[in-house]
Amino acid sequence: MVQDTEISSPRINRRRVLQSVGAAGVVGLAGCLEGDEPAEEDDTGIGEEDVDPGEIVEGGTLRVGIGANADSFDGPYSTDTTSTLVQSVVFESLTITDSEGNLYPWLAEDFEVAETQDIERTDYEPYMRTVEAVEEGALPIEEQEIIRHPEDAVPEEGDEVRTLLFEDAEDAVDDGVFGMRIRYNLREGVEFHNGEEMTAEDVIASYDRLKLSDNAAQYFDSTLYYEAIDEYTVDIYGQLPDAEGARELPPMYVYPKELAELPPNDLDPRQGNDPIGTGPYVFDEMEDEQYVEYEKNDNYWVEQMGVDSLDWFEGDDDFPDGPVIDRIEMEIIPDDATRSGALQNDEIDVTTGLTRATLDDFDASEDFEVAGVETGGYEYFQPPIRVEPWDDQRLRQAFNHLVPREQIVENVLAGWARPAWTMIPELAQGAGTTDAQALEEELRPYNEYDPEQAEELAQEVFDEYGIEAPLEVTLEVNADNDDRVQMVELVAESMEQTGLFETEIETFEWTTYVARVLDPEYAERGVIGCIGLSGTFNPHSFCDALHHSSNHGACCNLSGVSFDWLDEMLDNARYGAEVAEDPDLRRERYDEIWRELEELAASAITHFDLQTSVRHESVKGWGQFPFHEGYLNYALFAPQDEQVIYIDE
Amino acid sequence: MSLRRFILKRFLAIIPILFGVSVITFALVHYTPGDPVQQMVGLNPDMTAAEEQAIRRRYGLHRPAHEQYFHWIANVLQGDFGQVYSSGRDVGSIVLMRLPETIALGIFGWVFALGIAIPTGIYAAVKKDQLGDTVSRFLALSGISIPNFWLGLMLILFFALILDLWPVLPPSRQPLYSPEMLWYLILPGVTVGTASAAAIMRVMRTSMAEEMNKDYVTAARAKGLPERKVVLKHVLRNSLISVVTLAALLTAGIVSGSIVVEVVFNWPGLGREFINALTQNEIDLIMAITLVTGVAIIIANLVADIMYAVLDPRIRYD
Repeated sequence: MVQDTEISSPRINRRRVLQSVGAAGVVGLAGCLEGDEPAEEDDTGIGEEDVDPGEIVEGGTLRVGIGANADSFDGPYSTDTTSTLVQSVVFESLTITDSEGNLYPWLAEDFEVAETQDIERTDYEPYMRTVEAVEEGALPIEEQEIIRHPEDAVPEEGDEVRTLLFEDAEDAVDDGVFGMRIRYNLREGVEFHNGEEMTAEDVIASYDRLKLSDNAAQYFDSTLYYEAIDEYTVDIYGQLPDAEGARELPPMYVYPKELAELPPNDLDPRQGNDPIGTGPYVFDEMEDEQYVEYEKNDNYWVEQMGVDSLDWFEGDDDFPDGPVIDRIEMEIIPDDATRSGALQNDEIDVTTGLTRATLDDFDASEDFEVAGVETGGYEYFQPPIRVEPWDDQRLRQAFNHLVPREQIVENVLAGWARPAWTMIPELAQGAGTTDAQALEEELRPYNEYDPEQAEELAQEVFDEYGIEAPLEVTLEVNADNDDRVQMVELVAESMEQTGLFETEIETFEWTTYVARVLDPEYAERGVIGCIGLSGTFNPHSFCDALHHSSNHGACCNLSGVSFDWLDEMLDNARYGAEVAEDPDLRRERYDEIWRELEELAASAITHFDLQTSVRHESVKGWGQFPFHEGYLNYALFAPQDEQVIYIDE
Repeated sequence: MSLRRFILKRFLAIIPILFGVSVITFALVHYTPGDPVQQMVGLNPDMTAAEEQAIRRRYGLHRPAHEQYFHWIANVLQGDFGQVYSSGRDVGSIVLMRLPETIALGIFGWVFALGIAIPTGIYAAVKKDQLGDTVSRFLALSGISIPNFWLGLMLILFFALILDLWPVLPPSRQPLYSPEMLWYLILPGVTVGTASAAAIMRVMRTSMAEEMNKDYVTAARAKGLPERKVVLKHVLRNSLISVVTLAALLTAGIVSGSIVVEVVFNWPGLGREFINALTQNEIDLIMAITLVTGVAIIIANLVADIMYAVLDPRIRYD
């Protein structure tokens, strides 16, 4: 996901002005923030606190300030994080994850990778049909496209394309051609809010809803087929043996069949269809652009069955069987300054996405707590690897040494981020490296600010290419993210100080910039692009998007990094029976990738963002989830991390 | 020309004006860099070219611009204002839902502006070049100079955060047209109306001061009419002509000014919706809000013309 701001939503200049003035004016002048004690810190995040189950107070209403309207409750037809956030307390999935990315069965009582086979995309050729491409590579098909033949990936208009459609995938599965099969045994006795029991039929209907939806591509880039085996068993087939299969294959949420069969975009209270899930809260009412309200689900299956019914739960005996807060009121407050004011005025209890200056003020107050945890968001520069002299990796390494990561974090981001000494953030380290500390020690020297080293490397290249300094360079960035613009200015200044470069910065409005950098021609412009991206628990998302040739012209290999050997390394770290079955082997392969990428220096990741929230001190036990769309659901009740919040007033 | 014919003629003139507004807005939105579907691709990097095309087709974005426009206008004439790309929701219903919020805020701001400006303007004119006049001119100049988003933030800071008299957020669970809402309209309404109040006050003062030097005023005074009657009955009526014109013109300012104010006060009106639509390139929503705003401004001008004639019988409809 291309990331513009902390909450990944584009903003215009006027609003940025409001944010800045608002933050300074409302928070600074109010004078109601007192004290200067630093936030409590532990290993997992900033300002997190343990809960003694014996002290938990039940009941109360949690008022949450959210930064955008909830566009839709229709998961398959909504792509923004706020929509997912409002859906997250109502709907649930077959599996859940803890804050470190470990998977646990949830609506599924258990799941297992039942089969893996070394299959390649070309093995599906006998099941593919040929269709003629229409405009811009699109196919005139009404069925879900699962796999396009690798040789026909980007067809011209009129070219014939071999493709595997969903209706043909069944034949492949019947013939035993699939990459992996994961079996999900559903928990019996789980009821939706309407009192109906969840069965395999609902899971299948939920997956059917994803087909041809706006989010279909996210699921059908890895899913091949799915089928109900019996009332409580579902098999989901992956196209390839995929080390991330267990995370990637299950449907986003499980809907009752009657909702899953609604027309596109209709699963929304504004269309007359209240969301009904299995989750801990029942949708109560919403007023568009104003609020969304929920009541506690008195028939929540975890409460009915007891948290001990979760086989993997090893927590405190007194840990509650469900969330303890009775009611949730989400207030939609797009402007940061207003949200900040509402928090100070006790009109909301918790919010996220405040400006960094505001965070500092709240952090210094005794009345509020700031929680922060490293997330998957990161920002990066890409030198034009296809354009001379930037095609010489020494020059790119020189550039990398001119990126002042510590200065960026301290001066531009006020410390609310972590310098990227490697390309892998904490949340992906579990699957992505054998020894994170050793990796950092080894790779940090490549990423440290070192103008002398940079000058030496650049001078070598200049001498070889006969380039007379200064070399003119244009850096590009979107104008509507002040932090990012400042970051680029800092890098430009750093480059100019060497005397080897003469820089120019060009800024663009966000949507213009997205279109610009996603254009395959962008790689030939010879400019250094800077943008943000949001990765996941999957280490793949921190190397593949920037460096796999298939992501050039898509998201987000801006400069067209394209090496067969690198593609192969990236694919082999995620796909294949060996890595799907052996996590250690996978970690080793990623370690090789991180090293190669440092040598290649095709990208310079500057820092990893923090996901932050601010709350009244009366909200106890807050644990911060690394991703915005899941932070509330996680904070309310997450037995996988023994996480629960309560209000103590 | 009779008043009825004049109004009919002006109403007919609305059609080409709105057509022009729609063409210009559509062209501006369409040719401004940034593509809503491209933005969705940016948020959903796995989206394939086929899916991108399917979305374009679903919303008619694959057609050439002129076809898109004629398709849009044909639908609008049938009452269909299109859909929001991000959720598929009906634009017409969104505008209908948000419009009353903006109207309530605009009316309050407008009433506040006139309620403050007219008496202050009269006072300043009567006390011309005295301390009261100087103070009111200073206030007017300040009112014009202060950006309304800053004023809004300061009002929140002082009255909501420091004095705790108002909440920061509007009470979203109260019906809009309830007596309770009047209280909560005060801060955003004052913010919306302040600049207009200042502008109207200055015109009122100048106009009154000019009128008071005219012969008919001297004559009225000479006839022994009380000063209060001279000012309120004779001078005020004539002074109001220019004020009415300005007040109508400022309606546009109140509508557009409320965009920023709605963001600051979290007021769920058309202005806040417009900001969202702009950031997400929601073309149909931008077009619909622009049209509604255009209609409001045209009607305000029409009302001004009518009032102008009512206040000054010498003016003929033409």
